[in-house]
Amino acid sequence: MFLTIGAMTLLSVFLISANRMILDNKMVAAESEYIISAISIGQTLIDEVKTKEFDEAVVGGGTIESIPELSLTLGPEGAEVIEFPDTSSTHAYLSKTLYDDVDDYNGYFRIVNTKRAEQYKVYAIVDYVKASDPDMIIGARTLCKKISLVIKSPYITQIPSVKLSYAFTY
Amino acid sequence: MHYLLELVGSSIVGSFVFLMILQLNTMILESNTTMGIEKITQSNMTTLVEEIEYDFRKIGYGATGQKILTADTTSIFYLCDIDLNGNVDTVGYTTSDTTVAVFSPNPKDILLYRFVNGVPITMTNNMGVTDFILLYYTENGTQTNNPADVRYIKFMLSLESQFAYGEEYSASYIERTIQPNNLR
Repeated sequence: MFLTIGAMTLLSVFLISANRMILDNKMVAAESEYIISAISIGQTLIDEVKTKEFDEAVVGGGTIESIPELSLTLGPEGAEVIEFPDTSSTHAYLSKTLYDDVDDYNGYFRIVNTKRAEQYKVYAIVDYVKASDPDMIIGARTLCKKISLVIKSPYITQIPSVKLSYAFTY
Repeated sequence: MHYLLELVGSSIVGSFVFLMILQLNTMILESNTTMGIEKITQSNMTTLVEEIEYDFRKIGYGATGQKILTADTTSIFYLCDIDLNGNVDTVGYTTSDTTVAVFSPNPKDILLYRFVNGVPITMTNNMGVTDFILLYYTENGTQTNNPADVRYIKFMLSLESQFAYGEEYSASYIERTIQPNNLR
């Protein structure tokens, strides 16, 4: 009697864990599509930033002769005010027209909705980094700025977020 | 009689256990198959997106004057030195209808053609493209169909597996916006 109960318990445990494994596999397969989309959304924002000037000092055709001419604080200036999250159903994000240099995107937050999944949240941070080692954030001004993106989605649960970064040099 | 009842009872229980194991085996097989199909679909998607991205980034490279020749929701033709040989080429993307992909069991898939100097190259013999939509935007994000005003190109690509598991085709969708440097 006890032998039978023991055997049935073992079998149940095995079936439940096998079932969980199958479900986990399906979850990973489904989520990978949302991760690919998240990467694409991040690359789209990086593409947008690539079209901007390196620094406010060179907007309008100026040049930078020395480091002190670079912006002291990283972020939007003057009238470059966007109420976050920046979102648009027609791809007309305010950052496209209001921002004119790379560091304007420091602290930027965008929500992107696609046909297959909505509420992709894209957060951007811009730092001065060492040009020869872009992973090293430097407090002082340099001729290299790095934008780091964190993209989160309610449909991505296996990893906390998708992270992308891109370094711009003058 | 007592032993006979035990034998019948244990046979019934044993049969249920056997059926459960069979069912589990079927589920594992199904999971493996669908995972494999989904992996192929997503792999096709990333391959295709990389290629389209590369081509679209090159729009206008080496060309002067109007860089995009024609632009509509299913096709685009533009000028660029795609093979980096110093000569400007005409590159284009367009799609077929569903009747052309006769070799695929999926009734929805179409072919995506890439043209270089008028020579069509079928990109998606076995990729399972079901939809390829292009949208164009001006500098301030307004949608446009005028090739001269285009600064951003958004493509939306849907793929499905060629083969279904049961009645279900594995699907994948991506949208990407590209701003080619030479359209700035």
